[in-house]
Amino acid sequence: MKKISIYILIIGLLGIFIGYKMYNKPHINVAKKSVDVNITANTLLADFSSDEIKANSKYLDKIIAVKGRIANVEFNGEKAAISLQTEDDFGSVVCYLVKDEFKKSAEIKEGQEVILKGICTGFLMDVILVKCVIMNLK
Amino acid sequence: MKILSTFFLCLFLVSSANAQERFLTKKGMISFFSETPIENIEAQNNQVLSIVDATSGKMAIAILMKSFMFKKALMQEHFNENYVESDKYPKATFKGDIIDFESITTSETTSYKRKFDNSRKNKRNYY
Repeated sequence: MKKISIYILIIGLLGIFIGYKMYNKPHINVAKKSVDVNITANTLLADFSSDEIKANSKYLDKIIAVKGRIANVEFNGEKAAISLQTEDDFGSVVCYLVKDEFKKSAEIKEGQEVILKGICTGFLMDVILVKCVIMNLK
Repeated sequence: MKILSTFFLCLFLVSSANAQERFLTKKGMISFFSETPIENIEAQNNQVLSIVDATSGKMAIAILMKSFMFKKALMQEHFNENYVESDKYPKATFKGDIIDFESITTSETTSYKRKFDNSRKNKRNYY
């Protein structure tokens, strides 16, 4: 009888431990994830503006490495976004950086070529990538 | 649908000017908050597109469902998979009229609380 209650206690503790682990599951670390799609900013935007439904199924939630020239960098304490130049006049590819990448802000400037790795969340005039890291800068 | 209306209650918009009588921003922010005994449900979305027509008072908002950022990864996963099914509905749109739009006359920067008439259309896109 005593043995059984000890087993139950162990299983219970294990359950609590696993539950706690799952509850505190960390966010995806983009920097450590492998790239699903390698693409240029131009092709990515063209894919979305020509057929959004198809592009959604192809790119949403994927880790995308996008290559392009910086059109604009925007920093404001909480957020940092880099938009990339494209041939399209209205749209661009906008990459929101993760906090750890903010320190690189001094190194990046307009016109520079970068490769950004992030998660694609969709298309709202611009193609949006979140949790981005800059790949070609250490 | 209830969760959608919650978004719009906590809606903050920063509008940047554009030629013609339309004001557009790509940098809107939508967040929601809900208190439960165990934990707070809270998320922020910084990828919001919003257009206001300054002559007619019509407005439209589009948001990417996958852009809601939660503190807890598991919560974000549940939100996307179980509640809003963001794989099926990656985008939410809202179109409506600003009620009592004519009474807004000042051109100064002020914030307004306005009710929206969303009877026209309020749907999730089947993408």
